[in-house]
Amino acid sequence: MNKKQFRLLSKAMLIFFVFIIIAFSVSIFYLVHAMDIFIEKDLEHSFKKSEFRLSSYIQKHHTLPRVPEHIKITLLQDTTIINYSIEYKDTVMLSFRSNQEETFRKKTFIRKIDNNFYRFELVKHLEDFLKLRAVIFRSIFYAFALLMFGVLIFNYLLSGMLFKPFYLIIEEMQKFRIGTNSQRQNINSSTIEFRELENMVVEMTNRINKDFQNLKEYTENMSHELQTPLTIIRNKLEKLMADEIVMDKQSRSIKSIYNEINHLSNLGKTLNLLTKIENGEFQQTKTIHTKFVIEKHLESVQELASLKNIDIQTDISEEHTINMDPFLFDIVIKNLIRNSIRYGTNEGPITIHADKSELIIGNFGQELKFPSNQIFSRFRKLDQNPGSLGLGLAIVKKICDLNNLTISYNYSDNQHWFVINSVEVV
Amino acid sequence: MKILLVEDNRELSKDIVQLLEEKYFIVESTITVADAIEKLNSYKYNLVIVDIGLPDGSGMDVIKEIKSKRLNSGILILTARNSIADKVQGLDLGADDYITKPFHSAELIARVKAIVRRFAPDNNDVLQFEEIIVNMQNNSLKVNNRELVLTRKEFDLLVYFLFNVRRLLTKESIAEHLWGDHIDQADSFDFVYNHIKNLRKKLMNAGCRDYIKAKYGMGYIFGNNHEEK
Repeated sequence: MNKKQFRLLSKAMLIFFVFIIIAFSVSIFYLVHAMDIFIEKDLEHSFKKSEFRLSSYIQKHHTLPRVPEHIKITLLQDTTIINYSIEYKDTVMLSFRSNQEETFRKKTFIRKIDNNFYRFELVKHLEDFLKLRAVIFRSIFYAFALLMFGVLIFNYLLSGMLFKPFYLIIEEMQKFRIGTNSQRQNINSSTIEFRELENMVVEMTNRINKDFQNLKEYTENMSHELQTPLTIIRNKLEKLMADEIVMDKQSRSIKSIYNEINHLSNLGKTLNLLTKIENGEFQQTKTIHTKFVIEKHLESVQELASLKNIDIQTDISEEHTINMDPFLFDIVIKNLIRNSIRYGTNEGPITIHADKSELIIGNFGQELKFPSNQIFSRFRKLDQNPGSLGLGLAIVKKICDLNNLTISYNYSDNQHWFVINSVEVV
Repeated sequence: MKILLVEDNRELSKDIVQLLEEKYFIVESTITVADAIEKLNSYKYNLVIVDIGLPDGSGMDVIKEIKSKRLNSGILILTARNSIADKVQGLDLGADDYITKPFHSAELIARVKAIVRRFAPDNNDVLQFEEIIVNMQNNSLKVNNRELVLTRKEFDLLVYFLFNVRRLLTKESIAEHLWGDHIDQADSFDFVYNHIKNLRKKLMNAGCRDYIKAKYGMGYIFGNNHEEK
């Protein structure tokens, strides 16, 4: 499951933002609703006042009052079809005050006064209310927006300040490189949780460093203590090999012991190297202009290739660079080229091509007899050849992984291709 | 030719002493840095072979002593630590060469002889075997007093043989000597075979006797008493 990832602050802000929007909408809805109720009440009150005034006048004078043109009072003659329902209607008409089209509320109802039925059509000015409503609505909206913005910024700054130690701790952890004793800065947050986190990180890095030191010493001792006995065995064996009487009788056994010692000694050296690489002991990272290094290396293997009748064609851009410890790059090149000479056939040349971004090494040969994704595995060999350790490509892969490079393998046109690309570091 | 060996493993020390004595060197061995410094102060050595990890300190101290006293001795570091840092430090201090365990006897002899030649009082940089004369100074070769041109690798191979006359040189040892770790051991056999073939052909064309003999399918011996076989 690959969940979308957010920074802690952004996530908090996002949740806060959603919350504020909801709270804001509810408040606005409530306020507008309350205002509408108020307007309705006020209108109704004013209708009632007019009605009272008009009906009192009719009761008193038994005649219809003189009213402005938009108010209509009619005496109903036909009393059989009286509909007592009250009717409200918002209409736009020419205002007698401003001479402009404005919104009015019209209330139509029937009222009985002294056995006569009158139809009242009263009109109240609504425009002012609506304008007021809009103004209030707008002010509230702006006020809320401002408030929301302010709160968000405040929250952002506050959280930023609160979480600063946390980010500092993360930064420290990212800077941590095993085996390097770089000076760590103390954060000393006043937040208990962060203080605990920091202490834990410090404790853990110390322990990792200690374990690393132990492991390093162990591998060093191991390699040291193994090599001396191996030297003794090899030298004794070479002494036996100088003895013709022994050799005539035991040459097969001696040969086999000799081969195994060589294998063991190479294995020890190579595994030791692999461990050192894994432990990140080679960190003198530089920008290497590969053309020069590769060409220099080719000088020393040209002869081996020509003995196998394999040409080496190079087309290396001077712009191709790789960032890593030069010692490691030597190993990468040495192993890849050794590999292509070893397994290459003379159907065609070994190709070494580099442009600005990638380095490609290809050689002709039969397809692999095992799944190609195992090509970088340790001890994966094409055949059970005693001379090959099966570690060369594993080392190359390890070095690439540790230096932000990808190495890929594919087989096409009867050729094995290794491609090294830089990974974009974000 | 006097050699001082500083190595803390007694068994290995004994073997190396014996190996070098067979080559007519006078070898003294010590185990500690202190002993080594004492001996260096009392006697003169053409070559000091020194291990890095010693019971009472680092072989680097021995090198520093030699350099500070301006003793005219060659220095060969012999160590199990295949570490570039050590190698760089040792060579910076003034060591002449660096060999890592486990080494081939023949390789040790070749390196010892190469350094000793450089520090030899007469500075006679010529290797001779019967009708073969190699001048190490200008890398030239004469067979029956006539100049013979070899490739670089063939020349190195011949010198390696001349340093190890009558000793069985295995294919592995030859491959390592000529190519270091540029080559997989498995492939080395063909390459070594090829070079031996070419070298032998060139020598014999120049009127040289055939001194190179394949032995037991393991390697080659350079020498002139193959009659019994």
